[in-house]
Amino acid sequence: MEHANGVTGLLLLMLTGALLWNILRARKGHEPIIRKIPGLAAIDEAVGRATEMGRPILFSPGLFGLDVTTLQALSIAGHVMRLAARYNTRVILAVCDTQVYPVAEEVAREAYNAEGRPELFNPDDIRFLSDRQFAYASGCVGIMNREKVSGNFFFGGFFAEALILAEGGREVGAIQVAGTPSTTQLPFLIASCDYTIIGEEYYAATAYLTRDPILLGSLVGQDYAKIALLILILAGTVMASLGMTSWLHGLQSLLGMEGLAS
Amino acid sequence: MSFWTRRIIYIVFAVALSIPLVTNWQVTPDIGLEARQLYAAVERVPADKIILINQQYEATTIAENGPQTRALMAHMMQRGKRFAIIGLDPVGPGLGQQIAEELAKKYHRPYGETWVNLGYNLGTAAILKGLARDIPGTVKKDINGKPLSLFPVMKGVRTAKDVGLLIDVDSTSTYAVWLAYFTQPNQVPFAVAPTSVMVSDIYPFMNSNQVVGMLKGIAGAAQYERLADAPGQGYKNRMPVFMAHVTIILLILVGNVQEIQRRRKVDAEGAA
Amino acid sequence: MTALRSLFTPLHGTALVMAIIGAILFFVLVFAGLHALPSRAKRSLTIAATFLAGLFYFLEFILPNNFGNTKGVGKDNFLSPAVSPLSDFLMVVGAMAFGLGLLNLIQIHGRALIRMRPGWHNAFIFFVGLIAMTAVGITHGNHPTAKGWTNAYDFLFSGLYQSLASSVFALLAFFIASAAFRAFRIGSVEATLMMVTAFIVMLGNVGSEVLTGWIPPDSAFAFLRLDTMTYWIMTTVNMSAQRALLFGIAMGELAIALRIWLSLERGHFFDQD
Repeated sequence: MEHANGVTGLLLLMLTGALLWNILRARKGHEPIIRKIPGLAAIDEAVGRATEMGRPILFSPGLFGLDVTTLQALSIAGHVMRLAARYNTRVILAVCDTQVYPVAEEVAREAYNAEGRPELFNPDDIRFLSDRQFAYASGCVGIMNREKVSGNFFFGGFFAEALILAEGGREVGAIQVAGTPSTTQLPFLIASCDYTIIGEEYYAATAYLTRDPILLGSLVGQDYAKIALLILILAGTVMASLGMTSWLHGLQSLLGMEGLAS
Repeated sequence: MSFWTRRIIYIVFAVALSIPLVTNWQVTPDIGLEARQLYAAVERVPADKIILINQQYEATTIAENGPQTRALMAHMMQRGKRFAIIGLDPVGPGLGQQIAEELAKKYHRPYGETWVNLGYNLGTAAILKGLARDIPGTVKKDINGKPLSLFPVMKGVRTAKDVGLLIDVDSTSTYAVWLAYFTQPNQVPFAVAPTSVMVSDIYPFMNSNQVVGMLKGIAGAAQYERLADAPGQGYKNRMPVFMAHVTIILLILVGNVQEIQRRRKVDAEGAA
Repeated sequence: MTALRSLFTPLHGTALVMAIIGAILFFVLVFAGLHALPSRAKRSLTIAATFLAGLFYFLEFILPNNFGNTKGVGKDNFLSPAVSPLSDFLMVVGAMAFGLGLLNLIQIHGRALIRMRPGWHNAFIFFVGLIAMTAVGITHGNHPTAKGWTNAYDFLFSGLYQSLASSVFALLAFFIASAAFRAFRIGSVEATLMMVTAFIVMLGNVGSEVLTGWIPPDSAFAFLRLDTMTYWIMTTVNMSAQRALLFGIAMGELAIALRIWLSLERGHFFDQD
């Protein structure tokens, strides 16, 4: 779609409106309660275990470029680093994209500063390994073996290298927590990691970890938006089942999908 | 899992994979609906339109994406369908070129007459929007740096309206970008040849007819080879995959037997 | 808009050189100014820049076809002509970042080599690879017909890099086998269902001809064919789950994009503390 037509624009504004309305409600003091997400709750445990073993942690923010998926991964990396800084545990952040690298370095520096431990920040621990998928995976597995890492965090967008990373980590006996919106890699991460965050749970991470009311409000907004989508789907199903095809074709034409969904 | 258990699994697996390769065991594949639909979509492309083949893979997945590309190109060359190789990543168009050159000799289709390579184009959304409006103006030169106007295959090809089908041979989920910026807004039929692991992601788009056909990894390549009557690597590589699947199933069963024995032992010790 | 368009018109000769020098000086001044700003002002500036950049792309998408487009070309609105030059700008920024990545690699491996740290030989191999590929790549690019350089390039790229990358990818098969051996344990009804489904899909995708190919596809027992069962699982059970996940992920992405755009996101580079 090049530009939004009426229906798409309306849909976008409706979904955005649901999010903003709940953010505003939360700002006014209506703090929502969200369920426990075991994978995110396990982050603290994983850092704790790594500290007990006295070995470093490896964090991979995935293979995507500098987009929302990677920014979310770096947010989680910042949280892990703050926790690790409290316990004096080393975190190696292995990056696959050159544009992500300076942002990752900044995140790490700020995390150590925020914990009042700037002396723990080591620029050599923020590493750009390669922008080639399997060279990066080999580099990560190499770090796992050489540094004998005790914990692995895989957060971000992954492709086929996900299982190489997770099995490589399993072989060195590291506790592993993963989270990704890449649905094709979820089965592999679930099979090889101790905890895996799936689908939209991944985007709930900052809200869950910071408990910021604004972010929690936006999570509730997501649910409202999904309910709105479900109502639309249900309406479409009913119309199709009742043979109201002219309505459906009208809607398809408005959405710019004529000739495709027949 | 112990060090040796892991190694034994690897050895068993390597042996199982090697058997069909050594014995050249091949079985004629049954053709699935997805491959049949893609074949029909290629057949439907009229003579005045071109097919774009996006080569979005590297050497790593060539065992799957290579035979897919070969089967598709063989079909197009047999039928004299016009096609252009394109890529949003540097390696793919070069790999596609190698396959096309090989087939061109077999089917006597010289470069530039029925096929051309538009090479690697940097950028995603902007490039695809540009292609939709003006193909020769956006790409300008072929993979060897020659102006596109030199090639008869590009005659009359100006915008997305002149593209009869776009096939994305993909290992990196780029199909979503093509769908959003090229095929859907311009009503261009779209097909995907993904690696096996990506197959489950494509079905929702096939169901909504946003994708008109699919080659499911190496199995899809073999099915298309049968449709195009051009048996090749797809036929060959399929049976090792079958053996791998059977071995995995056997390993899972062995793992479960071990687990049941372990639980019984724990129960017996608990009772004692 | 005319001023915006003229900003992106290609220059040549002296004008181009002057423009490059001017751009460098301008950005040196901008960065010096940014560096001198107090952190609160820096943060406000970042928020403003993020909002304006987001607003541009939001408006470009939401404004309908031909909106404010006096030329009436294609599906453009008045902001569309700036999309392509902005993408070029982002690509240039990206290309600059490539240098940072390389610098990081050289620093880490250089220190390891100079101080003869454990594993220094890996650093040595890194430098050999880097220098060889850069030299051969550039020379081959400049002299594409020179046979010696072409052979050297083929040896390094097709002979070494591609084979190594394919080998690492192939390792996945072994990892899948060991992961499956460990992970697919029957512990509950759900786990059993998952295992049986996995068996059907694995055999249905490749090899159904060997096991159930003898059942005629048009007979009453066709539903027992593995490929038929697989197709049903993939298009009914799997597709519903995939769609549900996609909806959730899309909503999550929309929410986080909105939070970043409006600088509501909390993380370590968005932090408002």
